[in-house]
Amino acid sequence: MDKTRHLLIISVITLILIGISYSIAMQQGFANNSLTNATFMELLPEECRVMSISEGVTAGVSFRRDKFGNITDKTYVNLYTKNIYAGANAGFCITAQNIADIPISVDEFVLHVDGNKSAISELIYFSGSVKIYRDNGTYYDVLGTFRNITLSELAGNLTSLTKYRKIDSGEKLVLELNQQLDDGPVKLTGKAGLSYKLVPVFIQYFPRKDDI
Amino acid sequence: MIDYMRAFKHYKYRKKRRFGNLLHTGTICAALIVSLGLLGATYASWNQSFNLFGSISTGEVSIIITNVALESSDSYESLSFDTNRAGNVVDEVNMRVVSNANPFNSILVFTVENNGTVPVICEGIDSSVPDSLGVELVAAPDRIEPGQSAPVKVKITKGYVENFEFSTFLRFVQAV
Repeated sequence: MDKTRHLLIISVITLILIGISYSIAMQQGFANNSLTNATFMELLPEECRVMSISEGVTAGVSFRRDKFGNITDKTYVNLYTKNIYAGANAGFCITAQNIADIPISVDEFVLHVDGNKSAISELIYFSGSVKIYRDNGTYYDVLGTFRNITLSELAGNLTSLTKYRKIDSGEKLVLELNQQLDDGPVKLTGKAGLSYKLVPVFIQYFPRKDDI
Repeated sequence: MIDYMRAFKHYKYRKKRRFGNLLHTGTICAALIVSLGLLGATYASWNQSFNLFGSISTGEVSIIITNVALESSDSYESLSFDTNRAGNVVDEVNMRVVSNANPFNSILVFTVENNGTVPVICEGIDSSVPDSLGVELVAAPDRIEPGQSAPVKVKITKGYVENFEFSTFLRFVQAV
């Protein structure tokens, strides 16, 4: 009886120590990173930019900043396009890097559309590609391209291109996204704009049976 | 009685043994395995997401008339011309003419300012005015950039009339 009780006590203490050591190790790992908010993938502001815009259109990439102008959140980016008209387009390049020590993968892309600002959601088409830059940018793999897909199809397309693909530590995931407005000016008449949120969800990469 | 006591003690011992089995090494190992498994599963179910916000908006077309002037007209005996303003914007134009010309033609110059966010062009003037009045867009710039002012000339033709009032508007659209 005493022996079994001792075993139970020892196992409980062991579990507690495992939990504490895990927390300490994770905290230490975070302290070594530039960010302290426990992110494993972060956007690279200097590589998120506008690639192309039509004449007269204003487009840009903005991040959340504090009053001193420092970026406070590298998991948020706003791609804005203003003064659009029928046939206009704007292209963006968004780059994210794996800053963790573990390989990452994309689980899915989730799309949210602002119900109060979705007038032209059916009049905009997306084209672009997804790439992973490996070996310090020495070469890249093109995961896939898409052309003239609607907003409602965007998340599904991106998910199918990126799911189960490994992003090793230090590698970059690059999304090139071009937004093209419908050519018909009559269709745009009286419609204000569009606001949407595209959310890529990253998880730890686990090799599939085929990869082992 | 003694037999009963013995049986009771045996029963208590058997109960203790069952309770002792609960704390058997195998049970503890099973609990450890389950706990560590849950720990691993919790770790593996970690995820992180980004927020890529996209906003697309049309521009704003906003034109105000800052001045109206009489450029030219047919001959007249007397003519007075003035404008009523609401701040920087011309609200109303009053023209009193005594003339033998019938109809009387005049060319007004509207100075317009683009207060919107997109360049605009003047497409024309509203022609849904009374039949007796003629309005015609004479000249307009090709393109007015945001913040710029430009003149728009309009010809107005009217026959004999007394205390005639009308309103019309100039049509501006985004310049592409």
